[in-house]
Amino acid sequence: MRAGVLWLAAFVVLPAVGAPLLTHRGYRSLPPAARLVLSGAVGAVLLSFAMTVSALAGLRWNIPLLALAAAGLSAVLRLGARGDLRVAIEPPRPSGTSERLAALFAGAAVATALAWTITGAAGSTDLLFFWGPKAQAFASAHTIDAAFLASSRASYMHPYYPPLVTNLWAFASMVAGRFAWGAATLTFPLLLAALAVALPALLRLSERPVAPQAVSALVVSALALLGSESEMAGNADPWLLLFEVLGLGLLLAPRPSSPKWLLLGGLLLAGTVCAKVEGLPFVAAAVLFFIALDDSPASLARRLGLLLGPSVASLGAWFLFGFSRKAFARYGEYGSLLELRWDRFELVLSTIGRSLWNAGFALPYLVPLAVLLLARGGLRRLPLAVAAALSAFLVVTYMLPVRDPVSWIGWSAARTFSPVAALLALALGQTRAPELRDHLAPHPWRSPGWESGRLRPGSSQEETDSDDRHR
Amino acid sequence: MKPAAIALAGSALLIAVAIVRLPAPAALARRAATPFDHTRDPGAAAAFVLFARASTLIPGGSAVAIVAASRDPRESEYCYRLAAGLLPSLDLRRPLEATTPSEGVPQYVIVVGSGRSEVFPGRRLLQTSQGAVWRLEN
Repeated sequence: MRAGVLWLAAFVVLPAVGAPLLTHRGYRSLPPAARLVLSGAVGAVLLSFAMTVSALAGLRWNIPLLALAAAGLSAVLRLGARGDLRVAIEPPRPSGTSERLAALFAGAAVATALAWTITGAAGSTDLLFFWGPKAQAFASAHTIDAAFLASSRASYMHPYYPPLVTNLWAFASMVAGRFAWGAATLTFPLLLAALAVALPALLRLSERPVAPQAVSALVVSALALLGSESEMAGNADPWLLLFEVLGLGLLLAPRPSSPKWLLLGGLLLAGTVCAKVEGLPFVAAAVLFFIALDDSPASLARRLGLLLGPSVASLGAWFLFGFSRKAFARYGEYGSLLELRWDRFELVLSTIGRSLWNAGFALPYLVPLAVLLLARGGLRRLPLAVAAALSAFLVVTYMLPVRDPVSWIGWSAARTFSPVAALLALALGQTRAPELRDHLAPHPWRSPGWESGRLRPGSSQEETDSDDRHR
Repeated sequence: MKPAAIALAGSALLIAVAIVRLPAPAALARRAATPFDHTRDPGAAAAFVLFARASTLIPGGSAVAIVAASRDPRESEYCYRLAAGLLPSLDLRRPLEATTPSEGVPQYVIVVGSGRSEVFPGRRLLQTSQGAVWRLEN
C-alpha cells in the first residue's frame, strides 16, 4: 500500500517540471487547474525525454538530476519561444444548470472508471506482459536496459514500443522502491480526471465554442466506458488519450499559430508519439490536416518546426538509442505494408465491428456520433478528418499478414480506435453563426469587434482571427 | 434541443451503462485481491495471486520452470509471460527450456491452474486452487 502511494506520488514531479514553461504569461489566460494539468503533461514529455537522452549518453538515472534536467529544459523552452502571446479565452459563463450538470457528469464518469479499476474489472494484462516488466527492468537497471530489450526472453515485449510510459513508470518505481501493479492501474482514472479538468478550458479557447463543459463531459464519459470495457487500466492508452485529446483540443484554438501555442501543441503531440506506436499516425494526420485547414500567414516551416520538432527530437532519441544498442531499429513487428492481405478486408471490418461492440455495445462510439448528428451544430473538420484518417490507417494495419488477425483485432481494436470516440465528440462544439450571436448576447465583456468575430476580448485591434474559420 | 442538452444526455447514457456493467455490488463492497479480479481473462488474477505467494517461498535467483496444469504449450507460454513480470528476481524457464542441458535442471516448478494433479520428484511447498509450487530434488 505504501509503495503504491509513493509510486503515484512520484508523478507530483511532473507539473513541477512543466511549470517553468506553463507559468509563462502567455498561458495565463488558462485557468490554474488546466495549467496544472498541462504542466503535468509537458512535464511527462520532458522527463521522459531527459531519461531517454540520459540512457543514450550512458548515464545512470538519478531521480533529482533527471527532474532538474527536465525542469531546465522546460525553462529553456520558455526562453526560446518569445513574444507576448496573449490569447483570450472565453471566460466560463456563470455556472448555469448545464455547466453544473456537465461538471457532475464528468466527475461521475471518472468515479465510475475508478470503481471499475479498484474492483479489478478494468485491468489490462498488457501491464503484466510488458508495460510493467519493462518499467521494472529499467528501474532496476537505473537506465533503459538495452540488454533486457535485446534479449530473446523479452522478444514478445515489443522492445521498440516508444518509451514515455515505461520511462515514467520506471521513474515512479525508483521513487517507490519497487513497481506497484495496483497503482499502475489507477493511472487510468487519474489521467481521465486530468483530462476532465483541462479539456473544458482548451475547448473554451476554440472559436465559437458551444457548451465546452458538456462536450468535455461527453468525451470523458465515452472514454470512461470505453477504457473500462476494453480494460485499459495499466495500459499505455490512458496516457495516449490524454495527449491526443489535449493536443487536438489545443489545435482547435483560433490562434494556435502563435509560437507558444504551437510549441505547447508540439509538446503534447510529442507525448502522443512517445506514448504508443499508434500515436504516430494520429500526429501525422493531425498536423497534416491542421496545416491544410490553417490559413495563418505564419511560415509553414515555423509551424511545422514547432509542431513536429518535439516529436522528432523525442522519437529520434529513442530510435538512436535502439539503433546504437542494437535493441531495435524500426516499427514493423507485424509485417510490411507491401504484404497487405486485401483478401482479409471483410474479415477485418467484421472483426473490428465485433470488437467495438464488445466494448460497451459500441456505445462509446455510437453515442458521440448520434450527438453529433442530433445537435445539428457546425462541425469541426479537423477532428473528423483525423478520425477518418486514423480509422483508415488502423483498418489497413489490421490487414498486415499476421497469423491470427481475429485474436489480434479482438484484443486491441476497441483500444486502438478509442481516439475516434473522443474525436467524434470533439467535432461537435462549434456554433453556427446565428447561434453565435445568441450565445454571445449575455456577455457583458463583449465588444462590437468581438461580436463581429474579428476580435478576441483582451486582444489588441491588430490581433484578428484570420485563421480557423471551420477548423 | 440545444447541443449542450444533447451532449449531456449522451454523457448520462454512457455513465449509466458504465454503472450498470460494473461488477456485482458484492464485489464493489470488498477489496479486490488483484487488479484483474473481474477482467475477461480469469487466468491473470489467478496467476497474480499464485505468483505473489510463490515469490515468498522461492529464494531470489532460483531457477524456476513455469508450467500450465493443462500442459498446453500455448497456455504454458502465457503463464511464463505472466510470471516474467511478477517474478523478476527468479531465473525463469519455459517448460521446454527446463529440459535443455545447457540451462540445467530447474530447482522449482510452478504449476499454474488446477487441472490434473501432477507429482514432481521433490517437495510440494504450496497447493491452492490457483496452482502449486514444487521444490525439486536435484
